[in-house]
Amino acid sequence: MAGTAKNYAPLSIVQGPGDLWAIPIAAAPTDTAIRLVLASDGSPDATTHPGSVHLGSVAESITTAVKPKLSEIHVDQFDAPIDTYVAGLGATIKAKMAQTEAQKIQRMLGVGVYASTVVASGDFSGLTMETCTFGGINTVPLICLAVISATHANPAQYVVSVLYVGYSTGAFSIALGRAKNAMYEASFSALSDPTRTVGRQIGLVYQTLVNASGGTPTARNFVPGEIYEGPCDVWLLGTAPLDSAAGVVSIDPTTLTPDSTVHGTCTHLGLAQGAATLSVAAKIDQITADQFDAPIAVYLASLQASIEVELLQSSMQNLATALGVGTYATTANVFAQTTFGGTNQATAVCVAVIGCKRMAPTKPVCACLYLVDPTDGISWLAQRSKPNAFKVKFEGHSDVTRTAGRQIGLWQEIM
Amino acid sequence: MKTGEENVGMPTQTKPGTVAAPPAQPDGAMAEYRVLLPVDIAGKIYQYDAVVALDAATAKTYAHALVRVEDLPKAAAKEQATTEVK
Repeated sequence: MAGTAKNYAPLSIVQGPGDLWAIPIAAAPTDTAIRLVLASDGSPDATTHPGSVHLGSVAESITTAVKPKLSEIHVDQFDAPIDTYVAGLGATIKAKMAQTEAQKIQRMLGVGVYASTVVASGDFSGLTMETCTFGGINTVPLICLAVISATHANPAQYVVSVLYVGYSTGAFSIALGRAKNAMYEASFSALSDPTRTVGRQIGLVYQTLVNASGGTPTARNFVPGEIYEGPCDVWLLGTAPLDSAAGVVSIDPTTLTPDSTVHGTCTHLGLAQGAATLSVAAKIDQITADQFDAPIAVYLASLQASIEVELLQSSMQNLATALGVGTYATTANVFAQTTFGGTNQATAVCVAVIGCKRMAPTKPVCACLYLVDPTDGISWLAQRSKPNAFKVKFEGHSDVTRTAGRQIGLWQEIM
Repeated sequence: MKTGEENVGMPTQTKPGTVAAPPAQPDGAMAEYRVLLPVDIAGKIYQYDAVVALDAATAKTYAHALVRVEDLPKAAAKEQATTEVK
């Protein structure tokens, strides 16, 4: 009898950080040259893959997952399936991203609109303002995604995963607060590319076995200053940012508060317990065809945006605001109250969160939803051991009077 | 049906730098860019896959969301141009 060799190969163990790259579809690996051309530093070769963008620092890991959905074939005479068929094949790339910046959150959202303008007047005059607005864009941008990670045995060789045609499904949820860095999940799913050869229509995973050399490196995008951490304030704006002003919140440079000459009487919601969270989530409809094992196109089904914060100040006015259908009234030195019951139309308001950059505290960042309803109600906790705090969640509407692309809200920052 | 893999038409890992980069865009000259992500340039919103003519400075500002058409591999650029006419 002859034994069979075992396959112990420590060099095949994958460990080590990776970089996430977005590559234009038109510059992606082709059906004949199916792998990326890597430059000497392991980045996509800028000549072969022009327009590739490094998506910045990753908080933890990047996960590429490929999973078939198998349809079992059963017959009554047997107690287990006698065969299977591929009903579908899903491929995703997920990561927790660390750099909170307009260009990057636009890529995570996909259907956001990026703008960069030089501020014309005021104390921010001459500085660049970047914005990512959202609401009203229905076409989902497609992009090739690649994860490139050096092998642990040889830093000049790489393990690479590629989704030839991907789209963003994760949107972003950013907690602006003191206790934690504002990390957010990025998630991309793959489409099937019907123009590619059967067997490699969605993507590939591969390892290079020769040292990368030559080529034209594509710059990586590590900017520690874009990692956000720090407290913020939540405001109700008396007058929402005008569509004619590109939906931008005007902020007083000295106090980093809403400019009352532009936004009228604004209400500060006071002390908060923990971070304020801006979430913008696109629900993407997948268009499938029976001939292919993955979707072949996508369309935006809906976009949900919200700002959530836990407030500590249970003033009657705050409670009325958080309830949405409450009515606030006060007589000085006599009472303050919120009544409820019988109001059928919630009062839509404009809400803004304003903070400052961690490494440039004179420069504000701001998230704003132009038209929101509070949706979580209110609760009142009378207890010895901890203060009453109540969560308020503002959910964004589409403001149909605004320009498509900025009908719900924005993220803005001074650079 | 196509089968097998022919790694032709583009440089491989073992033959780096065999494709010459297109010339840089001169200052002040306009070039065509394909939109990868929606952008608002001077008040006008350009959606995904649109083609817009821009000067080099503006294109640099929006570099994460654009790719210069001239830089794209010729086959892909031609294929996209055909699609656009349809």
